[in-house]
Amino acid sequence: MKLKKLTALLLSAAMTIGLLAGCGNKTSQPSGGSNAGQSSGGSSSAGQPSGGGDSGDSSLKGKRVRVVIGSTSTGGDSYMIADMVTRYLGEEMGFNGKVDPVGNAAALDAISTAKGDGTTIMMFHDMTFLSVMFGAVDAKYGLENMTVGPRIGQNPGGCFAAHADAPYDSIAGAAEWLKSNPDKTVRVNIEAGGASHLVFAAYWLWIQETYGDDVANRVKAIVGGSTDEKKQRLWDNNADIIYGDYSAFSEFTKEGVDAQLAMKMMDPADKIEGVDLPTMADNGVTFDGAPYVYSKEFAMYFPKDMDQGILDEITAAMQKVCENPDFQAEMAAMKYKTVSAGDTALAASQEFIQAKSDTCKKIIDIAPSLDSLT
Amino acid sequence: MPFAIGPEYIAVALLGVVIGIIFGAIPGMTATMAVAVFLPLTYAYSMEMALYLLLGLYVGGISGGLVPAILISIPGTPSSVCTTFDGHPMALRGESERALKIGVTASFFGGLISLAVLALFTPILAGWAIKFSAVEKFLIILFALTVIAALSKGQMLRGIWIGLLGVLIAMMNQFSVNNAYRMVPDGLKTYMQGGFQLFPVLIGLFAMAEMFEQCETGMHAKYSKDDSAGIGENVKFRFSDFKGQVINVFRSSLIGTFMGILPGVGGSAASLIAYSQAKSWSKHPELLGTGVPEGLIASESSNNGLTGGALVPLLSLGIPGDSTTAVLIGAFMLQGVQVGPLFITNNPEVWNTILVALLICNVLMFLVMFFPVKLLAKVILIPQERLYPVVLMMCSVGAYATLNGRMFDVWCLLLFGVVGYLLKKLHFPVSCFLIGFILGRDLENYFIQAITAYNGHLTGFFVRPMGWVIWALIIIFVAYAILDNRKSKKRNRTAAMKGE
Repeated sequence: MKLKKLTALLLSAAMTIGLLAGCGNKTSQPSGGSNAGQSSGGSSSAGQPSGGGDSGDSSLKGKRVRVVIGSTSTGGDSYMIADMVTRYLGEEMGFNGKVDPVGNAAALDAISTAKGDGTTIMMFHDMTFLSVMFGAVDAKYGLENMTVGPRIGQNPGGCFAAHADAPYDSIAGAAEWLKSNPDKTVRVNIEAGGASHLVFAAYWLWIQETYGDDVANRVKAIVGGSTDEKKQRLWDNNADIIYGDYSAFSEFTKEGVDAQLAMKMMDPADKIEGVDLPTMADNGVTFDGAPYVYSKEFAMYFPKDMDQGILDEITAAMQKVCENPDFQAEMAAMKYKTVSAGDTALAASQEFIQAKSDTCKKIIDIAPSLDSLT
Repeated sequence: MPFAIGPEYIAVALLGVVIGIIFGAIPGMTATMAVAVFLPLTYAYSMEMALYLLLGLYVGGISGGLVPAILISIPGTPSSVCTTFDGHPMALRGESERALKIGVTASFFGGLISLAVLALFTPILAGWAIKFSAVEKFLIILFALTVIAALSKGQMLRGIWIGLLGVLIAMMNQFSVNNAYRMVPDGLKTYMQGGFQLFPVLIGLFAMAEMFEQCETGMHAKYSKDDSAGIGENVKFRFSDFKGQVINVFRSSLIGTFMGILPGVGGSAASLIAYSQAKSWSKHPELLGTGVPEGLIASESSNNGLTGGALVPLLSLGIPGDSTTAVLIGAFMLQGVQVGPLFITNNPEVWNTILVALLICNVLMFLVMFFPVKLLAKVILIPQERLYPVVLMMCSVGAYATLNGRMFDVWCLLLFGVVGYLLKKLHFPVSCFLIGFILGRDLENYFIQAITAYNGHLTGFFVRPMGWVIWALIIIFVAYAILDNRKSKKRNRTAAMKGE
């Protein structure tokens, strides 16, 4: 009898815990007023920002805010930056935020169907608009159908790398090498529809303009794969140059690394703090007559009918976060750049993202399709 | 040899192991989820403390999957699919306690053997692992797929057909090379970018289909009160159950470790290959799948063998060996430690701590799971009409949590429940469909990588010596499976004639 009671009790407890866990991802409705601190766990449990926020009369005070990101990974830059910003912003505005790594299509869908009350925020990088331009998601998710919010940070860490034995030290050097060796090709491993695709397209256009079709046609794209798979392709000699995050390659450039694994770091797409490497622009790579520079830009995105008052409050809070030395230190520790409070202002952010999107569109419009580059 | 150890570390490891076991035992929750949920907590811990907690969660999460697999035939994790084949029939015979103890002990041995490999051979194995190109990885996945033939039990053609259907369903997603959607209706593109998620499919095919079947037949208790007195006592567990299984334990653990070492090859393939090899080398292959310790030992020692193996490429190449170690990278990043080729040389204390922590976590897992088994075994006595609502609710929550809260995955759970129910009705082996689904994406991924490397020529699959060895294994195993299939058919016919 005792066992029966115990079993019934345990089963009921299991059901209750399970049901409560199922409620974990709901964001509060504007009038809901659920309590902060009733988080289902996740991002906000990590080290809390110090410095004390001033939530004042924030419209989001005490509410639960769902932050969706366009990646499904919890180890990448998208999650790391969104997590940091959510913690500091939550502290500043008094909301309880949770980052949901739902993937690009799902994040775009979530933000396009969410209410414009600030309880659902998308924090993501340029893939937000690049994925539309590359045709990876429906055109209805274009920037014109959402509200661009404040910028939140940059990851300038994108970098080319090659095997340590490669006969060139930069991507410009690779073009020169191709020019002197007419029977050779260079295979560059990129990810379709991502930042590496865009940077490669700009590089390819520059080669075509500078060295002509003969050299450009011998630069081939190998499409697909995560950074780990790209590294393996390099080690298997199935790719000559790969593009990924600087931190993912740096360990393999140090002395003492086995010869098969050893890599050489080539041009970063933008200046990386504390890294003494000439960038693509330093090596002469240009687009549209100007030095080509690319950093992954992270920003907030909201539904099209976003409440302007709440958006202004979030922007003002984000400006304060950007000036917080703790936030700046945390970002710097991960080699991410913070944005100045002035650049975070709504109008400046919207103008910047729009201009960046226009430049990307220009590259994508004139670059050959991957079918002809592979 | 400095390393971190102390009561506080052991307490944290124990916490990790217990929570990991709970995660592993709940259908739909996995070791990866457990590590991901607790990762942010480690921000406040030292590197060593974080490792004890996360490795505890990892070992516990991988091991916990055997409990529901044996007791209710629902694999708690994808790598415990093969545990259901022999573990559950044993439970149905009233040997649930014995089956659980065999599973836990096999897991323990698997964990220890892979730890020994990790400690002694990491640098050598890392150098060796990267010699496996996409061609060899494709062939290994193909080899794992041949287990379909072994599981078909006298209906090989049906098994292969349904396995290939599983592969096809796995390809319903957005193709990463050109961003085109394949076989995805327009209205579902938002949810199907990455295709159907594994857990709703796995749990749907096993748990939901079983429940639908029970609804049809009515939920009768599998045991009467008279039987319950004998639960776990019909045949008691003895360590002598492992007599004659030493080679099986070593072979399966090493297969698990080997599969873990190969970066990017799914862990589920480990238990499938180990199981099929156990069957190939068994003196009584016809008994595997009917509830014999041999199959259970193969499955459980291989999936725990994975734990040490998957850490080899993580720590020596910075490339995770499975999905859980992919999350573990985050822990190192949070602590500012770079994993890669110089990790062991530059961080000897952390490296030693990992080895000690893994040993302690395996011992704790054994202690925590082995002794309360008697209580756990009684789960099978709970009337199904009380147990199943809880299982159903947990499965739904697990499916909902798969991608951080999507109702779509709950609908998939129900959909694949219906698919599993119909497949059973039509006498198709459901496990073959699942194996095709689990391995389908890796199969395609490595096929594309290999064919790209050889400029579209299929000859690439036949020019590498290491590939020849795997081809030979595939051919031998398929030939064996065909012969075994014929024997099974003959046996079935004889049994049918005797029945008449």
